[in-house]
Amino acid sequence: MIHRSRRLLVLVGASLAVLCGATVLLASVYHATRADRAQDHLARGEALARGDELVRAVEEYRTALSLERDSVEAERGLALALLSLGRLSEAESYLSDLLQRDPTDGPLNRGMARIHVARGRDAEARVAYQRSIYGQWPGDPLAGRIDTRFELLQYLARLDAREEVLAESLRLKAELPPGQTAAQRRVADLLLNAEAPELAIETLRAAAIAAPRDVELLAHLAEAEAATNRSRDARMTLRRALQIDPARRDLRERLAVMDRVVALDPGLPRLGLAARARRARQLLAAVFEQTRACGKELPSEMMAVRDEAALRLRRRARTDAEAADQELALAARLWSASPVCYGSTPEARALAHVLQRVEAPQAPQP
Amino acid sequence: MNRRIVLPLPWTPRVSDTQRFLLLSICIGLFAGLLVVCFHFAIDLVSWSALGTPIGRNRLATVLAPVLGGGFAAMLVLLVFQDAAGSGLTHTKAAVYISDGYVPFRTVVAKFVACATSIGSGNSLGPEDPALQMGAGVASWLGRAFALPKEHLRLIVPVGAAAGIAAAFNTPITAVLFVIEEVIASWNASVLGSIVLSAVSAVVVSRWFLGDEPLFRVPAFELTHPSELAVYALVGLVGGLVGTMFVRSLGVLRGRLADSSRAARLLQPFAAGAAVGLMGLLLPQIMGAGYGSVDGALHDEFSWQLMLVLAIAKMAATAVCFAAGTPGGMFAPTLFTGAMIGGGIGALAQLYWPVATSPPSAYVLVGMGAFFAAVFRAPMTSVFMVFEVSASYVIILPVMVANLVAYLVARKLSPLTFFEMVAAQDGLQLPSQERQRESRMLRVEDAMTVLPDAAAVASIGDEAGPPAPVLHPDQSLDTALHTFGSRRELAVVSRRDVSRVLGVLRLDDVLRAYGVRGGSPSLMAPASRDQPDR
Repeated sequence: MIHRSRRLLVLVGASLAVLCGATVLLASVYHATRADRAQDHLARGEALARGDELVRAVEEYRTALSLERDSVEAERGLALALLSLGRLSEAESYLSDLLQRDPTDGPLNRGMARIHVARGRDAEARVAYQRSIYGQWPGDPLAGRIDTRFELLQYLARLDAREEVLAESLRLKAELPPGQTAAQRRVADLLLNAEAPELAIETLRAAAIAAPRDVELLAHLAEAEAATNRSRDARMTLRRALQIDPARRDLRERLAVMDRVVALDPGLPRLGLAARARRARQLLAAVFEQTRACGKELPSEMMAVRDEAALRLRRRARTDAEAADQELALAARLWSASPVCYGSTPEARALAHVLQRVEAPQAPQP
Repeated sequence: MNRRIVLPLPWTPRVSDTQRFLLLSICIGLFAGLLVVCFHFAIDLVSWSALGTPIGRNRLATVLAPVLGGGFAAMLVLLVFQDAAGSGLTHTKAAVYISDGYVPFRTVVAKFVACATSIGSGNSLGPEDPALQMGAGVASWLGRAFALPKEHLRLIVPVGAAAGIAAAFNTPITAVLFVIEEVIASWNASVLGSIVLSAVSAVVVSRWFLGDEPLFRVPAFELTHPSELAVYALVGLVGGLVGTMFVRSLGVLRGRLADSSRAARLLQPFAAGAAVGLMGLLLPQIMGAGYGSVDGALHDEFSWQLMLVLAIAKMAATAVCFAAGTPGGMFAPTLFTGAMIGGGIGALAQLYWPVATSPPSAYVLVGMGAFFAAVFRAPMTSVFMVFEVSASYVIILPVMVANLVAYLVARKLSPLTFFEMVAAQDGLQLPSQERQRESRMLRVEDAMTVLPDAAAVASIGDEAGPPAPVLHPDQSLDTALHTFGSRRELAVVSRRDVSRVLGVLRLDDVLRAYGVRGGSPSLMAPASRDQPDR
């Protein structure tokens, strides 16, 4: 009886050991097979994602993830591919899971920020972008941070958050390494839109010093200078650009416009009263000529302004400030009253450039 | 139960029967855990070999694998191992209530081979029910090997069943509750202890090999608004209606197919496999257990239209496979279908009521629980199951609401649960755990005669001899019968003041309450009797 019971215990123990051994063996085969398959699918997914075949990449990533649930690479690849395909809800579920495991991941935080933007969650988007900017980036961290800052800036600009745009632009400007002229141009545009023209021009001039033969950069600088009432500076910059690349017809046309602006603009700095009055009268005459050349039938109120301008021009020219102001105002009224008459000739563009600032506040004198 | 058994080895202490039973439960848990882990590996290895990854990419395999795999598995069961056919739970209950705890060990082998083949080859069935039966089989084998007496052998089978379910789902609490709710309907402390020990042992083993992550990885979410509970109740309502319809349809189909000729019955699993394979060409998500697709639904992979289509397709595929006799279980397909129904309703709710709606993953979980509650009618199990498979406690309130609604709807619409239907079709007369839960226990207060206070004090004071045992109104009549001994009447006293006699219970009254000696069975408290003070 005792022998039998002892034998039974040994038998049960041995059975358990055998079953345990078989399970361990089967487990090693299973895990190895699973890992191999998961790795194959992951590699295929990455290759497809690089080739921009995102739909197929998603399928491969999904399969890899179903085989290896702990695979961060597969889940990450899947989340970013889904995001690129616009499947926001699904991407968000995977990104949330990944960010719970690693909240400092830069690309993932940026992905989440994009989802918040698409869903209209402004506060969450800002936070996610900041986490992305200051998070961990694989490869070139600076490039990742810069790209993300630009993305954030575009988003803030859409929200019309001027002060935040300015603050972020300054941070970005400080972070940009020298030689990144395209990025510096973008920063300058953002600063201009944020109504910080001085900073924009400073950025572009610094970039131009580092890249003196960059024609696009010079053209951008000229544009910024022209937009901020620095017509002489803009003309000089355009001349520099044309010296480098004389074949640029667009720059030549812009230079022609700037030349005319410099010749006509009564608001240029360091002009005396007489010069200002003379320019105002010339401006009025130029606008009047534009309307006379216009073959279209004008409405009666426009005709009235035009007649007033004609009467004014027949009178003797005066050189006092009051006359200059009156003639400027009349030129502006005539210009705005007859928009149908003006094409895109250099003369018309120059007149438009000068007259748009007649009522705008004057930029600070350089 | 108090007999002391001496173990054969000289250095071992003397252990009582109860202790031996508990030790055996741990051993059963280890065995069942290892077996279920191997089962899990076998299913996946068969699936990768037969269908490749992802499922559906190899179109020829998608069609052929379920035919060949399901056909082979069914032939194995129909021609060689008939004990392994049908529902594992039904056969486990039959072992407990009919066969004195006997489950042939060959059933374990047959279930392992047949179900790993059928499920791995893509047939729309699940591994949990076979795991339950394998656990029960291992327990029965060990119990017989250790020459347990008959009453213990009956009890050891549910212990093994709990271990099987616990390892398969990685859900120890659910396993314990399910076995108690569906198999034994008893909260007896010693049995409960054994079931818990075996479930825990099995889960320890399964987590060792498979990791301790829950079955589904659920994205984080919060309940948005209390008014959402109305939407969850709707999920419960739909789950209840669809679940009832599914069980009824399955019953009708199974009955019709069972009436076919023998030749037709042998061909049915092949036809079922072909049907699943053809459906799998368009909807590969319905093949196999489908847990990967449930995970996808939790991550908002599918549109609401696709989820509802998947729910219908899965029900059709599962019904066809199960009714045709392909070996496998119903738990996984039930979770899949419920997930898709819940997810579909959740996605629709988001479209039309986005302000007060959680993400679809919440509805997927709730749908799983609601449909499970409607099909299997195990309300406590379904609540804890959702909690354990998701490791998410946030979902508990919606799950409770939806499961309750689903359970009540299903109970109202259909008298039979899924397992009762299967047992009846298999010719087995098994006790209904639901009816046992629902039936009212007869109490002393239902049968006693209430006495006026003065008369009661006088009648008790006049009795000579040693003090008679007394009863309390809330005690069961079963307890009262045990107390009578040779007496024909006993005093019923208040629990608050035992000197205060409330009434008298006579043996004749007890028998009348049970319907003996011409009295009609009294399941409701008699209207003429006063409700006594306790």
